[in-house]
Order: sequence, then C-alpha cells, then structure tokens
Amino acid sequence: MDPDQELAAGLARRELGALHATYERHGERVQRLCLRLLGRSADAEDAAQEVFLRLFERAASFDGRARFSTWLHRLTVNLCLHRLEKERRRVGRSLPDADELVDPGAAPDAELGRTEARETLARLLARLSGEHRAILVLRELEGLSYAEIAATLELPVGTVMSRLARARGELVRLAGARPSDEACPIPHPIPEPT
Amino acid sequence: MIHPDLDCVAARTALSARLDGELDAALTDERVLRAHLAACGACRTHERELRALATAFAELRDEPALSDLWPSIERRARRAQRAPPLLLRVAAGLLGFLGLGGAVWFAQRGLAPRASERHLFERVSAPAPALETLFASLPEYRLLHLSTREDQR
Repeated sequence: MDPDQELAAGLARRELGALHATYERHGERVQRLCLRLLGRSADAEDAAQEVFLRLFERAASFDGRARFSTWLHRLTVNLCLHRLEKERRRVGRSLPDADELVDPGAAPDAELGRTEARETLARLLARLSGEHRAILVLRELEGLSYAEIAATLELPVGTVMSRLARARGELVRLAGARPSDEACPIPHPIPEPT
Repeated sequence: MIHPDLDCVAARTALSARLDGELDAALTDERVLRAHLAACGACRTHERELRALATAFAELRDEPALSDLWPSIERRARRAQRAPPLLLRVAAGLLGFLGLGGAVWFAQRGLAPRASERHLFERVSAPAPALETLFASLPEYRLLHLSTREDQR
C-alpha cells in the first residue's frame, strides 16, 4: 500500500501518530513552499502549522482522486494564496514590503552573502499577483512539471502554460520597467484555455 | 517575415514552454518558432530575458533553513483532538446562532401582543352579543376596547 494512503487513512481516524508521520514525510516541503509563497519565515511557519492542523481536521474529505502529496500541496498553496489576499485587502497592496522579501531569518549565516541579483529577483517575485507568484514558485523553485502544477492548482495544462508565460513576462516587465509587449509587432492576445 | 501561424504572444508562450522542456504543451512546431525568432527581434530579446530569469531562479532554488514546527503542531493538534469533531462544532455553532437569533427576535418583539394580534384576540374572543352587556361591565374588557381604539387612531 502507498505510504501516503496509509497516512491519509490514519489522519482520517484523527491519529496523532499519522499526523507526525505526515509531518516527517512532507513537513519540510510544505514549510518551504509556504516560505517561498509568503516570503517571511514567521508567516511561513504559522501557515505551515495551519496546513497540518487543517489536514488533521479535514483528512476525512480526501477522496483519493489526486495523489495525497498533490492534495496536500493544493491545500498549502490555497491557504497561502488566501493569506496573501487577506494581507492585500488589509494593507491595500498586493505584496509584503519589498524590503521584507529577502528574509534573513530564512537562511543560515553562510547564505548571507547572496547576490544582489538573487535579492532583486525575490523582491520582484513578491510584487507579482498571488496567482503568478504561485505558478512560478511551483515551476521554478519546486520543480513541478506542467501536469503536476495542473493537478495542484486544478487547472488545464494549457492554462498552466499560458499563465506561466504571462507570469514570466510580468517579471521581465517589472525587472526592466517596460511594457512586456512594447516591441511586439503582432500583439494579438491569445485567450486562456478553459 | 514573421511566420503567419505564430504571433508574438503565442511565440512567447512557446518560448516559456520550451524553456521548461514542455514545448509539446504549446502545440508549436520548433521550426515555426525558430522562423518567428529569426524575423522578430523583440521575441529574440524576450528569449534572452527568459534565459536570464531561469539562471536567477536557480540562485533561489537552494534549501532555506527551516524550523522544527512539530512541537507546536502537536500541542495544537492535541487540543483539536480533544475538541468535538468539526461537523459537530459546526452544528453546535449553527444551533447557537439560531438560538441567539431567536432570543434577539423575542427581545425585539417583546412579550406584549402587537396591535394586529390584539384585534385578532378581540375578534376571536369577542363575546356573543347576548353576553356583551355583561362583559362590558368588566374593567379588563373596557381596557381592551380602549387600547384597540387607540391603535386604530
């Protein structure tokens, strides 16, 4: 039997041992994903805890149609996007402060000498919409394939592809502060597949 | 000449997919894409920008330091475990809400009957004409008549 299936069954019975085993197996990835989506380690730690508590509450609703890990990542992404949206509404902007983006608490001392380009990219990433940030994080940082992203975000593969292209275009635009289609001779928009 | 089957938006989508090794998803022929790039300087620039972006992302891909969250999760999960199941809590909350709503409704309505209800009471309990004279001598009956007339005014 798939170890994740066993974990899901234990969680559905609200067994603390199953929750611990799930944390051992998936905790790092969940926490890392939260950190990459939210940008600040304190927020990410709080969100990751919330993910596991929700998992404990709602594991009985896991129907097995998706892989357990996909379901867990979907729960994580949705929770983080919800928090980003709440933050955006609260402070009237779409992102945490750009200066707060590169979180010294998120890295050991040995990493403090990271490059300016890296910090700039992290700041730019935080200026994207939650939707664009999520898809770039899943692809570029988590290394998910288009099919895996599609399953996680419950989107068609075609939408994943076009949204990724737009997210990258937006990032390039922010980096260069120029319209992404400025010099495009045939700017016909392609409707997003549904 | 820019390939007629591929505009710049489609070309940039295909470039992004090619960068991920997923050009098949873009349903775009590599030769068509190359033809577009050969003719379109803006898309060639965009391709270079995408490559630079991929390199920058590789810098961010390292593993961040993570805290051990289990002690805190365990403490909160034990609390949740002791609490009744979610469905029961939702049902209890709903009942509480309905109860509170009912209490507010009764408080606003008060215990006294409304004017329309007094009319109804008067009509339903109106004595037969033969007994009206006798009932009219009772102070409560006069009181009821008085208040009803005031309501009608």
